Amino acid sequence: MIMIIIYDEGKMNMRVLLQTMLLVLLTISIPIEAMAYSYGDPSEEQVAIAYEEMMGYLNNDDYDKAREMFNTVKEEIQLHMGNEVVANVEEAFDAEDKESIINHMQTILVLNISRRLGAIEKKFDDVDKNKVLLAKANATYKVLSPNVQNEKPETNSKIKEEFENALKALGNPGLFGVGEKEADFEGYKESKEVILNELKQYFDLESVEVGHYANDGTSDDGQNSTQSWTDYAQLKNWVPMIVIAVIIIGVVFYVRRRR
Amino acid sequence: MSSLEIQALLITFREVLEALLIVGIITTYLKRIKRPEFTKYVWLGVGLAVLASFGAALLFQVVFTGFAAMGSEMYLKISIMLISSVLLTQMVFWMAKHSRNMKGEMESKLDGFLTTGNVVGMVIHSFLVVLREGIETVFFFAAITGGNIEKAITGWGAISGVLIAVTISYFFFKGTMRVPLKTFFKVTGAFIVIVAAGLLVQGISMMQDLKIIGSVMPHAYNLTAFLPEHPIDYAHYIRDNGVAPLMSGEIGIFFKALFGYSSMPSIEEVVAYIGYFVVIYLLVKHNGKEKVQKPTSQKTSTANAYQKNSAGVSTINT
Repeated sequence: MIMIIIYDEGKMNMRVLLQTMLLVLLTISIPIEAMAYSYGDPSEEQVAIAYEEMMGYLNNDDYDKAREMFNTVKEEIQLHMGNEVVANVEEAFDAEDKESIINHMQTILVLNISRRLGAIEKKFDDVDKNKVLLAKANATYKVLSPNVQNEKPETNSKIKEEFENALKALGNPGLFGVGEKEADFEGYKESKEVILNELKQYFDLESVEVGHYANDGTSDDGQNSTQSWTDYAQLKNWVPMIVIAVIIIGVVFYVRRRR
Repeated sequence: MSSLEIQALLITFREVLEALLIVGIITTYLKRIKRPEFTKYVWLGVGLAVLASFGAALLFQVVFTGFAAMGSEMYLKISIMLISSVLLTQMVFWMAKHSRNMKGEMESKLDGFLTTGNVVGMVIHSFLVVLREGIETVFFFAAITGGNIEKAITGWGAISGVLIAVTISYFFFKGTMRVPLKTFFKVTGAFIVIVAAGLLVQGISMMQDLKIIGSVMPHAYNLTAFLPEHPIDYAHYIRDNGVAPLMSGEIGIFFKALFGYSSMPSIEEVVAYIGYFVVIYLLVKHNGKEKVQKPTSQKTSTANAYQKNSAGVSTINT
């Protein structure tokens, strides 16, 4: 259809075209809440990003904003780690207990590391996916790391080192023999145990077993979801639309004037 | 017949088809203006690009393996998409300009149009277009094989996809030898516009996913139930809704890679996509009105002007 629009030699009425565009835009401009596969940075973990944002708001005692931020990842957490952990955070929010919110969120982050590391073990031969899962576990630990570093620097360096070892243990299929590295399943499991045990001790957790709610970790595809919410107050969110509109309107006017 | 082989076949088929479309346009043009001696340089560019794609595969498989390097892949993909979109847009304008100059002229009179700069431009263009398809192929192969690119390259799926694409392109371009260059440019140009628009919106989509740029409406609409853009979206849809979408994510990813289809685009993607067509249409039309020489003196009647082209096929210029 578009080909016809572009290459139709007949009198294509510009006004009709623009009106049609407007109509299409108006009919589809209904906000939708949904998750979608994202091309986001594979080494990012949304729960960890949300935690950092929440910390920022909590430091200013802005519980509403912090809760809003928590709600953006609530569904994901519920899906992978169960209702209980979510309920804990929500109770802490109701009580406006900053300390408790932070503690429960840190527990969620540790569980998230456990979930990612567990998923790798279950499907150890998918190097590409496992690299992403490990990167996400690593990104999750990164936001906890400053705390650990402050109190127990040796624990922090040990965990970091084991993440690197785990990455090596995944191996590399190489390309036509170049850069091929054997995968080391046993070595990986050892690194995983060390990481989880250290975290368990440091955060004083009874267990880091993920209370699977909707899946058993095997379907952990490590994908980010696209963000379905937006902040209208931020200029950054308006810039792309303005740029696109200026270009289109600019060209339309340029062509009209030159006629 | 494993699903991996089928996936590899679909990947090489669409990537090679896209690459050959661009290369075919350039080589056809050279043949039409009676300068076939330059086509070998174009194919040399293609060959170098294939080699460079292997280099890129090696880089990602062996060199960039640390935690820090994993994100860099995304920035490379975005750059490739946006640069390719610009290149293809340039090509559309180039084709529009040249098809206008064809207005009824004998195609053999066009020798004067070709300068060394033009030829170098064409070769670089072919190189870059094929390089993009090559690198895309590498990324897709890594995704379907769990990182073992070699497994996909050496399977029969990949080679079959290449062969099918080559066969289709061969017959397509052979067939178009009978068609006036103007018409040929219009049809293939339309394809390129669609591909370029797709690349532009995919670039925007990725930048939004990485939060480099924002969005006022991250999900303008949702067609996942109809055609998810990725097998992962398909799986998530089943997980969340208990029923399967109408079509498979494999079909979605095929159209995504070919034309930039998205099942859940942001409002910026939608406006940019439609806007791209409007802008290209206006500029091509406008330039045409401005630059077209008085056609009356040059217009040949619709008498059948038979001439032999380089392929030895009689063409009819109408």
